[in-house]
Amino acid sequence: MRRLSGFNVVSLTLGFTFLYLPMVILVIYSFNESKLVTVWAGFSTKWYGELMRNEAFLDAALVTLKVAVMTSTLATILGTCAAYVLVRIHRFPGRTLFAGMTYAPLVMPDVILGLSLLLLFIGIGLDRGVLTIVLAHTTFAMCYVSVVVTSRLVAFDESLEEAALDLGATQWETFRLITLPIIAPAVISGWLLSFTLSLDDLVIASFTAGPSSTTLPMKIFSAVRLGVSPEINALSTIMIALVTVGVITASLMSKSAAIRKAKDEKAAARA
Amino acid sequence: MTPRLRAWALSAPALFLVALFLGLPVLSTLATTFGDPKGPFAQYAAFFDSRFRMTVLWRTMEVAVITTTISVIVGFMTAWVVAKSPARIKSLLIIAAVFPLLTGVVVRSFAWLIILGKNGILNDTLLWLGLISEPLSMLYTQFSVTIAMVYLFVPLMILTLVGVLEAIPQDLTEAAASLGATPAAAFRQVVLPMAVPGLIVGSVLVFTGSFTSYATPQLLGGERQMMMGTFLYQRAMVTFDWVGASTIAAVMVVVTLTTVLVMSKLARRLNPVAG
Repeated sequence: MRRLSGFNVVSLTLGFTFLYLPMVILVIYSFNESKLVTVWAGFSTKWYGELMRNEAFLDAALVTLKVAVMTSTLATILGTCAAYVLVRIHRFPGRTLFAGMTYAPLVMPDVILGLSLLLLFIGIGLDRGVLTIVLAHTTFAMCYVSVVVTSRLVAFDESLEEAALDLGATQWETFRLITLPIIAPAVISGWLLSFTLSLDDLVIASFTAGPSSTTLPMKIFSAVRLGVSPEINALSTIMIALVTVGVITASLMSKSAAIRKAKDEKAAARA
Repeated sequence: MTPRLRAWALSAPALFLVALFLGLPVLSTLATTFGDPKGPFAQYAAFFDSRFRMTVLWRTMEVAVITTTISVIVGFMTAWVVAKSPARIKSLLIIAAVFPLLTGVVVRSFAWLIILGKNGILNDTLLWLGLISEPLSMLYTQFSVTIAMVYLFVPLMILTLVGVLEAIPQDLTEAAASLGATPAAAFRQVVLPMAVPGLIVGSVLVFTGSFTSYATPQLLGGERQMMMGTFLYQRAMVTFDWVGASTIAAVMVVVTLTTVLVMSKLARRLNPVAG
């Protein structure tokens, strides 16, 4: 096994210190007794209590969750359909345009997407609120899902589907019993990806939200602009903790999947 | 159902969404900028004539270029070590590098607000060490915006570079060394050219990301360090000057597209094999 040289260890340490020190500071000061963010006055969890009593934050969290669940579910269904069509059906009118458009949000700056959607909603007279945020988020999240699912479908052995059809399964049964279980990991990661995208989005939500549909990132953003407060530290810490749990779960899941696959391969080799 | 009909039925909802909420609005937003009664390019003439708007444009370019340069250096050093580390640690390090990407732009920008503030941690530390006699004002400067942007985009750069650097066979650098190349020469003549595709992709991502960003310049730069993203937002949501906001959007599109084209040309010239 290769060992890392001293220089490498130093540059790795510096790089990761830069990445993590600001977050560690954020977390530590969320347990600060003092109202002043940067003056340490002893350990306390009172800001978490304050946070739980802050109706505005709770409302915003609820709106965000609602938007994220609706967005990721819609985006996963539509994105999976789009990917299926693009991979399995090689020629239909408008295919190139459609394929190009599904890549557009991946490179389109979100301020431009946000502005365009704002002008559209004003133009067609649609009141801005949860619905408009969901429509906006679904549009761009769907494209990410489509890219993720496409990569899985491309690697998929099409003869499995043909075998099912030959053996008398209907097209729907083939999709449900063969295609879906095989592409399931990609569909699930597409759902998770769009959930995170929706949860994190500040810019597009700011352009497409109405007065009664403030999302959590928007709420934090406006609170921070008015002045730093330990409550925001507490909220940021909760969000960092949630991401940590998510990342650990995902890596454990992929690890156990890899172990299972290795076991299956060994068994197959023996057989 | 014929395959063609099935394709239409399955893709219709997605197609409808991208056409109605992506294609149509973006095109019509760009189109309104040419609708000025004084002539199709009157808005652009006004943009490039205005001293203030040009200052914003140049400042944004400057911040984006500096951010990209620093991210390339920091990202490359980290990615290089990650790519060379033993397999067992490697996957852990990659997860550790991606993790900050998932925590949200607002949270990560907020962290720098605490560090760089007048009573912030950096000022407190410097005062305590006796290096300065009164707090420095670091917030709302180009410096604060740039450092927070670097912080935001380094993980993306690491992620892009690790894949490319991993693919460079160890044998090649060893061969260069056995043929008498110094480590520096081997790096410059073997590693760097092979890393070009990753460096270009990473730079394009970081440049366009920082050029069009909104949250970080707003929180750490404020009104004093107006950048294209914050300028667009202010025009659209504060002054309701929608044509003005659309013109800014169009300038952003042109700058980002030009960058992508120039960089991919550059990639082909530097590394013809990778094309």
